[in-house]
Amino acid sequence: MKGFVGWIALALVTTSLSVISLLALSLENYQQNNLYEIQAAKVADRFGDAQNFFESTFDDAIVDSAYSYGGCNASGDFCAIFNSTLTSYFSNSTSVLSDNITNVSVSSLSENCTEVSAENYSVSVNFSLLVNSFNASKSADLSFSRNVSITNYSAAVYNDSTTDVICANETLFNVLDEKTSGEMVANISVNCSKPAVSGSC
Amino acid sequence: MKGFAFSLSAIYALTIVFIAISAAAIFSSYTSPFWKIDNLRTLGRDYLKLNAENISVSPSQFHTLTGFTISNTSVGGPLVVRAELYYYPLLCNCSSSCTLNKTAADNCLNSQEIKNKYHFEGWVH
Repeated sequence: MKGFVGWIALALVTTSLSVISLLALSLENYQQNNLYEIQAAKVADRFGDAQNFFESTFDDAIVDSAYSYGGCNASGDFCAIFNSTLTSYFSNSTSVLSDNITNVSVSSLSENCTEVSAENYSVSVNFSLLVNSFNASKSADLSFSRNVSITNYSAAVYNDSTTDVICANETLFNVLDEKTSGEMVANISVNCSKPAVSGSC
Repeated sequence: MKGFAFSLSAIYALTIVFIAISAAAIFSSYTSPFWKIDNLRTLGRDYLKLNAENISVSPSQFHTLTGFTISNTSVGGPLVVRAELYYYPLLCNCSSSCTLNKTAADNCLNSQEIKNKYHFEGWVH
């Protein structure tokens, strides 16, 4: 009987030591999981920031392209300017959103720009956004669309025979950038203040 | 009592006490920091976003509202959380419709707005 109790005691001590080891191991895993959770939360934050950042980058490219096309030094074609501007701006935004811990990348970037009526454009962009850190990553396919109306700048026109007669008033440059829901994103006018030009009424 | 000391029940009791004491010893030295870090980071980001959107909140107001302290520079301490925010600057600093002169337009409409501040940091503790 005494030998039997001894074996039971040995078994119980072994079991309890195993339980303690498992507890210690699970604690280590718990700490590791905490680290992963922190990294995942940071990646999620950066992803949210990046999503908003790229949407604003898209709007920035629209208004800058519109100004280049119809502003004080107007030239070129809006859609052609927009396509090259957007690519450049997205590249810059990707760079500034990345650091030595979290990497932000964009792939499958495609833009679409169509003139639906005179100086009214339908503009959209599609891309895949990936944010990743050492142990966490988040990705999604994103799309933004806008309706854009542009008014080109034109200087006032006076009658060349009688200089005090204005044939046409100065027209300010304007770009109206709206979401497809109708919500205004930007409405920027520019007064280039160019001298009136000679013409005929 | 002498009989109990060598009984199977006594060994059971000792084992349970041994496990309980060991588990208490392990877990008493550790509390999960994740929820604290996550909450402090979220508070810090809210503060940074409000200020980035020109809704001014001072560090003292932050302290009054949350009970925590936020600093714009790195500080040391047992639990200091760095909150950061990337926020695209307002286009031409316009929050609604606006009219610019040529100089202002050339400054903001000829290049990307990220020449202005877009990365904000705060240390919450």
